[in-house]
Amino acid sequence: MTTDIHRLLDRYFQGGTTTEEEKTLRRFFAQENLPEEWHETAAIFRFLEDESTALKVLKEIQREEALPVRRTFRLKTIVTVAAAACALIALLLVLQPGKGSSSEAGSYVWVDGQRITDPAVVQRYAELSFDKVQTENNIITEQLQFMTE
Amino acid sequence: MDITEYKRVVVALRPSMLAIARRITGNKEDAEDVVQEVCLKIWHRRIEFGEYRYENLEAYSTTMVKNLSIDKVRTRRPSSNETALLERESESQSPDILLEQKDDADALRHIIGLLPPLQQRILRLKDLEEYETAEIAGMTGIAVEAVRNNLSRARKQLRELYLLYYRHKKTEL
Repeated sequence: MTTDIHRLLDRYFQGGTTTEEEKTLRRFFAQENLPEEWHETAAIFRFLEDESTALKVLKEIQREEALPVRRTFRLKTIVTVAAAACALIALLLVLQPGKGSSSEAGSYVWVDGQRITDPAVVQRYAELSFDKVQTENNIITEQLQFMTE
Repeated sequence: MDITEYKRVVVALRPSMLAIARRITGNKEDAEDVVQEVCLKIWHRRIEFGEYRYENLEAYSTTMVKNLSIDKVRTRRPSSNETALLERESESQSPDILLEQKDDADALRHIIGLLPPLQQRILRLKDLEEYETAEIAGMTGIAVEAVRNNLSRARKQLRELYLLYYRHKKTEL
């Protein structure tokens, strides 16, 4: 085994080893209780193994940060703008002026053909409309994300 | 700290580290380099950090990011005096500084930084990113044999300088 390692090491320092052979060297030098003659070489291989492991993780994190976040941001922007437009239209419909007789005095709104004059009831209807838009917003976001994955 | 825990810690710390580094260095590429270096340091010292509370790790990484960002800005500052620039460069790249490195990982990273750019790139591609020699030849546009020669020189230099550091460290103990 040690002779094989010596031979592999010679080839390693000649730049002639494959990635698989280099993994064999890293496994060998990762062992505990190696004879002292191997200590400094082991330190080099342990460093290379540690550094490449961490680099893989860091690249993975950068990839994860770059792709889905940007797509979600774009989707969220589109859906939020659409939801805001829906909410505005809903509000304009609820509060549309001039509906009904001009002779009737005071503020009122029409909801499902009913004339409502109580501001508290009007506010409740408006809040329900916003909640509905928000729920639809979430559903659309999920569906768009699913489609783009 | 295992690899899963390490990833969790890095994901949590990265945004604030990047913001600090970007504020000091003024550009995204340098900020990424600094943050990567700090993250690698955390991984190399994971046994020690495994016992740290998250808040302490956050404080350590913030300090490291600030220091390395300032170093980055200092080393790239243009100088009208060419001799002063050369002196500063040779100071920061001097093998003497190698002997002052606190641990093996810092020393080895410093040695890689001392290698000529082509050797450095080939060594990184082969030993850190695990590409095959033929792939590196394609990426660098040089012949396979030239890749092997450069890799060989880089590895031998790495061993030689590390041995210098290792023996120096042993005599200090």
